[in-house]
Amino acid sequence: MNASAVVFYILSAFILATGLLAVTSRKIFRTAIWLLFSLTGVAGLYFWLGMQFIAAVQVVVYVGGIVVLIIFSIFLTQQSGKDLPSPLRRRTVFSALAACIGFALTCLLLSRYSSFRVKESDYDFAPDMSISAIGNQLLSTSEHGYVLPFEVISILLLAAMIGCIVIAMKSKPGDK
Amino acid sequence: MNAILLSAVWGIVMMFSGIFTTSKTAIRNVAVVGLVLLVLGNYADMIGYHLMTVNVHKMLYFDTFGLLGNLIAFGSTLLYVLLSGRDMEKVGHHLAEYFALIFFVLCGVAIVTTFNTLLMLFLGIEIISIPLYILTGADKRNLKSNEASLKYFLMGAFSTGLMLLGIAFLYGATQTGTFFIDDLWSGKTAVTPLFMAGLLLLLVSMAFKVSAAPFHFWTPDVYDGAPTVFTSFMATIVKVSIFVGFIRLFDEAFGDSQEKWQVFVAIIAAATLFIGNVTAVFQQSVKRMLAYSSIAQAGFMLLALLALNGVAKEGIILYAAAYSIATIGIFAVLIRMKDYTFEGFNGLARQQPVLAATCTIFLLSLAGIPLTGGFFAKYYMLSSVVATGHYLWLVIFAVLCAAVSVYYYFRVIQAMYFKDGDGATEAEPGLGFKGLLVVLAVIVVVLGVWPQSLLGQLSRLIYTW
Repeated sequence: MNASAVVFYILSAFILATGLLAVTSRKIFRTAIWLLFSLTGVAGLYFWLGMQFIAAVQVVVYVGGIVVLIIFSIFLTQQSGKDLPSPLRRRTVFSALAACIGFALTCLLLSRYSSFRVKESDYDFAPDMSISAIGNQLLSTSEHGYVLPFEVISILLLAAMIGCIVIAMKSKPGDK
Repeated sequence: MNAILLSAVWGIVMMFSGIFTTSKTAIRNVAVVGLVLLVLGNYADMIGYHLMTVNVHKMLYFDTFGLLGNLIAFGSTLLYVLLSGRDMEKVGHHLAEYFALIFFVLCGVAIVTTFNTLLMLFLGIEIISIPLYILTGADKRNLKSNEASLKYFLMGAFSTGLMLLGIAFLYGATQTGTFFIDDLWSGKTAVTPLFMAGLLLLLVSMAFKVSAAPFHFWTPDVYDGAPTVFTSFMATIVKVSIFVGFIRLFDEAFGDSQEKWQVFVAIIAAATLFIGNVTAVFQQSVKRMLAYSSIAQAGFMLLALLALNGVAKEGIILYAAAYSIATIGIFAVLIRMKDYTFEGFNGLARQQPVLAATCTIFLLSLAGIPLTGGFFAKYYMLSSVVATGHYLWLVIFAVLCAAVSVYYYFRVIQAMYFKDGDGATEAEPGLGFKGLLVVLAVIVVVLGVWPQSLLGQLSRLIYTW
């Protein structure tokens, strides 16, 4: 077992352990925090694979965006300090069933494709996955550049921002 | 490209106009100038004059069908702002921002009518949707408006998710991994489950956006809860523009596998026609009736999607024009009414003969009575389906549904002319308002007597490809 494999197993154990804690914790706020750790672990796995961009997106979108959104909605809707009621028996059974089916599907996929190996020659055709290459293509005006969607997205974000302000701005008292 | 550039820039201009002036008339005039520029800019695009040459790398494709769809959307918006711009002030305090959002919606419209990749389609649909969520909730003190906005947002987010999933499936189904709609089918002979799943998810999410049954549940509540001025905008301009994109998508991307999905569109069209027309009969509020009527009219427009031939493409352009103008006119009158129920229209003919007469023409057009634009629009839709040689049952069913629609449209006419009441409007409508309504009515009649005025241009350009 080389160092890379050790890192992989540590990361996997971390993801699985925090994931398990997230679904078994009785306090909903702690669940959200355990989920945060689990998602960070997945980002680590992407780094281990050498996919910096996907890892960065994982951190920015999931850790930075989605978990914060979940925490906000917990604060707004739930009493975060209290224990959750224990789940119904029937629901436990079905959740266990769903977990088993998911596990079986993963095993099936692994057994079918575990012999799949990336050939050395494939690496020559693999696109450049570095962040700078992706950034260049995103803002490039050449044949496969994505500068047009990029600019269009900026219109979308501008519209969304104006909308937020219109919705959130307080009207002056006395106005209709 | 002119339209996309101009509408995006004018959205920003509108924002700044709110800083530099507090005069509402000035802000409205800036918007009108912007819309006139948009119409001119789009027309310049059609005759081959471009503001700047942008190499879009085939991500957008400016054909006459899309540009004509743009022209109708911008022209209707111009008429809409001239008619109802004054009523927008009553909704809330952010007049300049409302106009900015409307211009951003138009930017999305210009993208949706000319997209050539699924990526641009998705972005266009989102640019249309997000400002609409906000315009729906613009009346912040009104709980119904808030509820409608939240409902629209949640349902819209859900359909966006479905659309993304569909796009991802289609991306996976192509051998090369491409978003270009021309290449989705290339090199295929049989429909794979992955391709079909992607196609159906796109069909569902687009059907949701045009409020086709059984994905119409949000429509009555949102159209009813939203401020009436913005309901008018959503039910007409936005809906027909998304239809143009809808037809473009299925024509370019899935036209070769038409027989595989036609039956689904037929079912959706039949359900939409049935639910829209039958439910509209039972409504007590004219606003809610118009919401259901817009569902019913979407059912007719779906017939063009089913047929996807030259007649259908001509027809949808005519339908878009006739339907938008008539509905904008009725909504403009409705906004001025004190009471939105059918009783509120009692005796309007005696109080406001011009309003009642123009309203009658609009309603006749929506019902599809000859000599109005609505007649030829419906005629083209039906004949396009007849031309495919299948689905005759759907044609018969659609005619029956159109007959049902006469009932609820004529109920308004009956209330205006044959019932006693005060039919009160909130304030005496001005001369300009009445004049514009007459202009709209004249357009509707011209489209009905001489549809070639619009279609001649289209067919000349379509068939010279």
